[in-house]
Amino acid sequence: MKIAIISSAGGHLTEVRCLQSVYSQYEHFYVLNHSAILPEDMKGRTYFITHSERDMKFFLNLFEAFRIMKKERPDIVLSTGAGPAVPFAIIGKLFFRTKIVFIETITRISKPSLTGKIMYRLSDHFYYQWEMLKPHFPKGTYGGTVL
Amino acid sequence: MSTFVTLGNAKQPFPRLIEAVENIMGHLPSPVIVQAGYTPWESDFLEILDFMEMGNFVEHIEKARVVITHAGAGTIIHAIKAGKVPVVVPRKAEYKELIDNHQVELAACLSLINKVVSVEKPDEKLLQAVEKAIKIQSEVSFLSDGEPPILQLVRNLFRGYEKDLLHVEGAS
Repeated sequence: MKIAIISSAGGHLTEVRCLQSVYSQYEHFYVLNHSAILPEDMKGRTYFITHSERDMKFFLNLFEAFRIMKKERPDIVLSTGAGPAVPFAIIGKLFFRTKIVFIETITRISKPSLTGKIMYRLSDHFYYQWEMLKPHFPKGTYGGTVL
Repeated sequence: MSTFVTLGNAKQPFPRLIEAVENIMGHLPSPVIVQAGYTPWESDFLEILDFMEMGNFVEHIEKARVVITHAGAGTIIHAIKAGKVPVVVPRKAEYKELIDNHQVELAACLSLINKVVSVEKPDEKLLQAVEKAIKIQSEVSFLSDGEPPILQLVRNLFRGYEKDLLHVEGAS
């Protein structure tokens, strides 16, 4: 089984890597939207896509996602955000029957993020970390914080 | 053991935090090392660096007895993973320290579950917060905190998916 971990560079990456003990036993790779100095275990298994932020570059990301998904064929897409999760979820669902697993970020306590609201509709499994978000994600699963 | 203070890489300066640290310097484990980011500051007493490479950053956190940080999620996660209870000072939009107040909420909620000690008025309460963080860090119950439940939930989900895949492969 292969897992694609999609993330913005920075805090979101640090956050999704809290789940390393869960995904590292499976074949996995990362996709980031910004260059970064990578930890050793991420070298050689990380793709970089164009940094888009609620602009037209999103459409470029769709092509980039298609190219990567076609080459790698992951069974699962995992993300805590931000934006880069969306093109991979769309392409995964449309073309590759990928399971989409999204965890709303730890920084969203009382109100959902925009990515979270979109991914709630696209994901097969949606988790949130703070109970106050329940009314926003009635079909989601409360999991508590990743730390 | 040292004190490590970090302001992250937000573009807005956050002198309020460094000033508060300088005021209680005498009470903090030395050396006091400050990663100041985009906050210009000169000091005869604090060791000020602007940025550092990630491995070095994590090492500073691990070696510190006290970690004092702006309430950035990434830094907080690194500190907690390293077994520390960071003292977190949220940046506030009203002082132009950040674009919005999301750090305030994050710090308050993590503080409620004792993962961090949050302090909104570091000019008055920073030392108190440091003492509280040291105390929690040394408590046995903190040290033996188990794995977050969400990790087990996702692990079980993945195992379920794996079984389904094998089932499908077996059938074909």
